[in-house]
Amino acid sequence: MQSFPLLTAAALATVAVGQVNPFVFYPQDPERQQVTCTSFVGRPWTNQAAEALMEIDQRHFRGVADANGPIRLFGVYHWAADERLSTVETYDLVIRNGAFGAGPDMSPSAEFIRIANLTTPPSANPQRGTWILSDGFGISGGLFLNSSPQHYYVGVDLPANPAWPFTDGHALFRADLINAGSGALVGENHRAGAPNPTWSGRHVLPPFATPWTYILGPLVTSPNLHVGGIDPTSTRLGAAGANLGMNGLFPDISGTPRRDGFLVRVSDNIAPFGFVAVGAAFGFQPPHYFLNLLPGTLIGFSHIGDGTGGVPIILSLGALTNGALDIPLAAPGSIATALQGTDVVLQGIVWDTNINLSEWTNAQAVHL
Amino acid sequence: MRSLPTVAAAALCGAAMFSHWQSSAARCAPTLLDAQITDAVVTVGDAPRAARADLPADAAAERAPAEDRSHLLELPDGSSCATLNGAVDAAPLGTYWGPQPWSPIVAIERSSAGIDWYRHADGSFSTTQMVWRKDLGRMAAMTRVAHPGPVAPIAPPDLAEARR
Repeated sequence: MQSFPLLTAAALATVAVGQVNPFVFYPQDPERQQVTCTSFVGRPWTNQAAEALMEIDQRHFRGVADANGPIRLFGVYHWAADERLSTVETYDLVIRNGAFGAGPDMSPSAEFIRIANLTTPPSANPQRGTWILSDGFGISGGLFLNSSPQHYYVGVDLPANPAWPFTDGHALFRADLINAGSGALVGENHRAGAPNPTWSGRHVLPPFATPWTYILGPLVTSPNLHVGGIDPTSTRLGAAGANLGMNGLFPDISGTPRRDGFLVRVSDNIAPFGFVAVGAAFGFQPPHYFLNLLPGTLIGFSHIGDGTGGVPIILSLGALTNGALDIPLAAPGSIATALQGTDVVLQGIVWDTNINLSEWTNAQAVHL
Repeated sequence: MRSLPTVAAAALCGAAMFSHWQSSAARCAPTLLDAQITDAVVTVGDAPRAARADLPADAAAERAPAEDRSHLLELPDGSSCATLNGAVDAAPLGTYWGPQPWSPIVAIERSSAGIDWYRHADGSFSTTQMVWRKDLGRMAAMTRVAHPGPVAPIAPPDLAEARR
């Protein structure tokens, strides 16, 4: 990672933050879309103790929470399904490093942060229900990582609860992969052979990958970019639109029979009417800091050029409306099957023209 | 002109501040602002400004005590409220409220876990609390928001277990 003057990084650390964005990898945008794709509410390891872990892997995402090189995380967002709202649920938040190989490092020393014994709000309602939880670490107390690990994990640690799911207990919203074997009619939609995207972090036994995505992720100040896969033959979204989860990361363009298209969705709570530019590259490019690309300050690094290999390919310009913009990039049936095996990387900039402050979104790969 | 909901919220904030003042006086000496909020709810923002209006700016700056805002929680409507559960230097509530429309505070409720929460008119809850941060080596404030959400079916039993 290219170094950046420490003074500027330190100054950024004190910049007042108006809002944060949950970086969630799920078929729909849980902040702005009606979520119709949820297969089930479930736990990482039935009713036993385990961490539900969302994986952020540099093979798929870069620049999430980029604060000019360091990674800055402001909290954890998740949807907590409670089978009995009138009894509060207890959970830990955890962000941990990846193991040398695949999956999380479950040792205590791999924990970047653990906040123990948080509880859900009070309620007199004995029925099941859901809390959309934003657990903020605080602004000056945000979690700093010097650079992005190769892969790291953001999670909710659930204690064992024998009452789940019969009378009580805390679970998470999840969208099952097609091959999950759960019989889910809605959920993720991806090509065959896509890896499991989340993990069950057990404390005594080894962790294992789980075949679903969660409404779970870190709270960050970088704008979000997600690629949405478009498969007109699928009803797994439960509504019209693009699948912003696994279908965007692993679309099927084989032509046997699917030839998915894709779009890009940029979202930002901080500059909800900001100007947007989206660019692309073939594969992730070396990170590069642009000093004078736009008037004012541009926060973050480009992962789509121009470190050495050329300038980013500008694909589209637009503006956010109420915090989101969908940019269609490839209609179904339009991507040549010869491009199978190619990685396209997309990244954008959200520019708040009122204060001349702009910020790179995360970059996401599309593994064609 | 303050709207009625704002006044009601201010009253609750005043009550919370008073409660906080009483329950944690040893940890947090009441400030000038605390007293004003407790004594006259509707003058939370106006009284300090009015008191300084007849003074030259420099003199006002010299005479006015520095406000201790460490026990205040900034709300998205621009007002402030007492932090809950003894939190110090909590992030503004708007940081974590999300894109939902702001909903005013209507009550304070204590959970069975002993945590005080603000209840909002739309059914949301919010709170602040101090937590141990091993990465910082100290206690730090959290600001937390819980909005009610939809429900979804429960996963088939033992799916994950069956895969082990």
